[in-house]
Amino acid sequence: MKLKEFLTPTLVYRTALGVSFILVISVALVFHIQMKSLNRSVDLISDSNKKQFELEKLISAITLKENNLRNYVITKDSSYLQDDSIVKENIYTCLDDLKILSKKTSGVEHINALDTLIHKRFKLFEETFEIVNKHPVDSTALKTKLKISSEVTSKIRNKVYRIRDHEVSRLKIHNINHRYDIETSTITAFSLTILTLVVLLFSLSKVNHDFREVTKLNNDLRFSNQIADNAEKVAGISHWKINMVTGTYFYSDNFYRLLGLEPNAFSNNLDNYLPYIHPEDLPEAVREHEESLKNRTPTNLTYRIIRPNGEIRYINSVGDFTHNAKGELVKIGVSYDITDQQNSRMTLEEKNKTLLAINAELESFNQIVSHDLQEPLRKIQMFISRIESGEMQTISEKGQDYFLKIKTSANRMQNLMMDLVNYSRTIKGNKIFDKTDLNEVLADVIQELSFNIEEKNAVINTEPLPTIKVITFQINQLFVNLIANSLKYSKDGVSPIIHVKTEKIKDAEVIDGTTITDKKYYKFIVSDNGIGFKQEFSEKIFVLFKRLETEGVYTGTGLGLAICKKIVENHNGFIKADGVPNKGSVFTFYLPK
Amino acid sequence: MISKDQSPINIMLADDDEDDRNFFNDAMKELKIKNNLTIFKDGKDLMDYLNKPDTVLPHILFLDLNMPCKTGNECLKEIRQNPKFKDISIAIYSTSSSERDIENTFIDGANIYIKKPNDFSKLKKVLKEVVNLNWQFHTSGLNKDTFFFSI
Amino acid sequence: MKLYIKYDINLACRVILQEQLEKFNIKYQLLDLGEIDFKENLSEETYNNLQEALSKYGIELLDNQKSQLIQKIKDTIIEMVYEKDKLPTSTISSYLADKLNLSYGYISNIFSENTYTSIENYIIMQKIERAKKLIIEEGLTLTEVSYKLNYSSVAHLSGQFKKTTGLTPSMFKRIVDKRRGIAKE
Repeated sequence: MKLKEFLTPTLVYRTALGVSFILVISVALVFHIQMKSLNRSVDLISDSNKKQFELEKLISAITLKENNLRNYVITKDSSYLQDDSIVKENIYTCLDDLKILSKKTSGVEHINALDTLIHKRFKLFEETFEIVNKHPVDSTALKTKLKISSEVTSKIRNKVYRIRDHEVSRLKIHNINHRYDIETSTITAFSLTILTLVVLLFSLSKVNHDFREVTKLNNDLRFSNQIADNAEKVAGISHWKINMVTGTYFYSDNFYRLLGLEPNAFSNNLDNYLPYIHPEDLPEAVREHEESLKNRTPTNLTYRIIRPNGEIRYINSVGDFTHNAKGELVKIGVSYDITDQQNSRMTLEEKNKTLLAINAELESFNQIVSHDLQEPLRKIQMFISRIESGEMQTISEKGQDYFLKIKTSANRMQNLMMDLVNYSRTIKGNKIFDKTDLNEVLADVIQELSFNIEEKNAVINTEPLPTIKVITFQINQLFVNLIANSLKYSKDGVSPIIHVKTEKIKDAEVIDGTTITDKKYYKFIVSDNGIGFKQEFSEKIFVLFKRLETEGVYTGTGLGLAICKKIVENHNGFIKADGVPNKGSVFTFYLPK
Repeated sequence: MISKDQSPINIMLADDDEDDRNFFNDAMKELKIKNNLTIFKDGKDLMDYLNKPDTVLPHILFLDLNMPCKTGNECLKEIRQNPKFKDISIAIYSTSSSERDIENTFIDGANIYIKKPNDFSKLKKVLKEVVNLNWQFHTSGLNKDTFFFSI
Repeated sequence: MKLYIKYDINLACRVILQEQLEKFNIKYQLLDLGEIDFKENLSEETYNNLQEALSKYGIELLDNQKSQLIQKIKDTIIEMVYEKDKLPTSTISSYLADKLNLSYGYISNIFSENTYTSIENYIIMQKIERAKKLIIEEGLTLTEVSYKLNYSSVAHLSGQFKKTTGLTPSMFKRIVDKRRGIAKE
């Protein structure tokens, strides 16, 4: 694995490039050397040829001289001696050339030997000439001389032939070498060409490949940029960049659009942007911006901008410092239009204020009811009780009747007011949820209602209840209302039996679109054996002030169950009622866990 | 020893409402408990009287909360700040039934809280119970500081 | 600087009593439940002086038989509630009858005639009083208190507490705490 990682494409390519480079250079070097050798062999051949030629020339010159001398000797015509010096010069020139040529190659000693021989011959020529020119010609001496001359000439001739043969054989070798050199250099040239071609092709293909890749990447990038730009447009976001090193600003296309302008409506410069910022927000924004640039700290600003058409928008701008690909410090950020959120927030705040005001009014209403209204009512009831305990006998029967009706009405009013106060308490704000042991609450409630319970000889069966987080006084009220109801609407002459218990939710039930499962809710049941009600009214009875037909005998304010419903709703729970006329009622309520 | 047989209980009431004062008076009369009842129309009169050097201090003081000049709360605080009055049981006598109000009066030093009943016989019953309880506390040496009773 | 004091009344009274008796040079023997056995008869003057001296401390010499009995009943009840860590659950009547060597009927009659409250009520009152002490001085939880005072459940204790005082134990504790908080200021 490591090796593979090591062999990155770049490395491979670089190595390949290096290798092929070295290869080409070395082949070229080889070729160069071969060329040189080729040249040398050509030179050798030409030298060889020249040598042979010179040798031939020499032989023919000597032969000519001999011929001339012979002819002179024979004819005694001096015209044959005309060219003598020229011929001699030629011969010596040839010798010199040969010497030079031999110095380059080999066989100098042969040429020197030849030289000596030729000198001898010339000497002989002279001697012969002398002999000939003497009157009387010494024919013996002449013959001897001629014979020696002929021998020397033979020797020369042999020598020359020997040298010539030597040269010929040398020439053969040179030719072979030459041919060999030509062949190898052709091969080298050929392979060099091929190699260069291959390398070239390879590089080209790589360049092409890379180019394609880059084009593809470029296209992808362009595409991404387009998407980003569109996304910005859709989301109402823009981005900007400040290059701390060069001091240049960059604003994305949407940046301008957010200002209500076309992209690049002004040149990327902070000063061109500032006029669009709301004058009230401008000093603060500028200050924070400059501070951030100074301290290299991130910013989160909210300010208003004014579009050319006068529209005011809220902009939230968040920025932080980082480094770009070149390593320069840049500040990049995002600006987005939060006008909608801002407006919603402000509307919400307004509504909140209104709500608080309404709440305060409700409080004072509550105060009025609980104190100012109760006072005169209490007095009424006090005086009623005073009259009852002392003055009844002095009132006529009719008067007593009316008096009782006054008492009943006053009591009704009392109950109604108490219930109203309770109801308003369930709506009131301060809902503090405390972990409460419901058994304690139930015990309190039973204690509170102990008088009524005893009066009706009622039996209250309770089962252990859980401890949950509730608004304690409200749950207290809930139980009071439910149990008081059961006590109130009991069958004539039958002792009320009331059950209070909790149940596990076996099958999930659906109420008001919410699925109630055992995992999420507690289930409580308050049931009685009272007069019950018709199931068709099971929802009506929770409506404020709604009472069912049973008037007269049973006095109720119509608030009790509405209060229960409100309380259960305050806890995000549900309540429902099931009744069977003349059998009893079952009130079930669910509280979230 | 304070015994109902032997010596009367000294009770004081401060209430600005005439009807309430009459109710209270009548109730105490019908209870047949030996008592000396002194009634005041407002807090200022009450405090002035209490602060007089030779005043016989009451065993129980019934204080209405809503009074002009000096409210029941102000009287309560003033009395509790004075060590001379530490043996007086103070019963706040009020129309409010708000739990917070009740708690606050106890915190400020009241011993008893009575919600004004709306029935005369209930009033008699309440007063009887309060007087009785108070007497029990006295005779059994129970701790005044933790003597609370709310009805 | 304010401190809180817990005092053992019984011990304090005994010490004062002893001091006073010694001052008057009276030979005595202190029996439990507030009984003194005077080893010699006291003259009326001594008796009155002693009575006066003790009254300064709120200590009364009971010479009335009835009052003595009632005091004894009260003391027995108090002892039952405070000193025994576990109260007898039932047969308080037989317990008292045994301790005082009288029929329960007689005891309860005398008690209610003279104190205008029944023994049962008085017991409840003392229990609640102790509950208050336990909550404030020893900071016990309601469960612990109900256990110590032999209530069948916390609900039972709370119920009786509320019936006797009109307040719930938690409200009571809150009030005392806040009162102390004010006192600290």
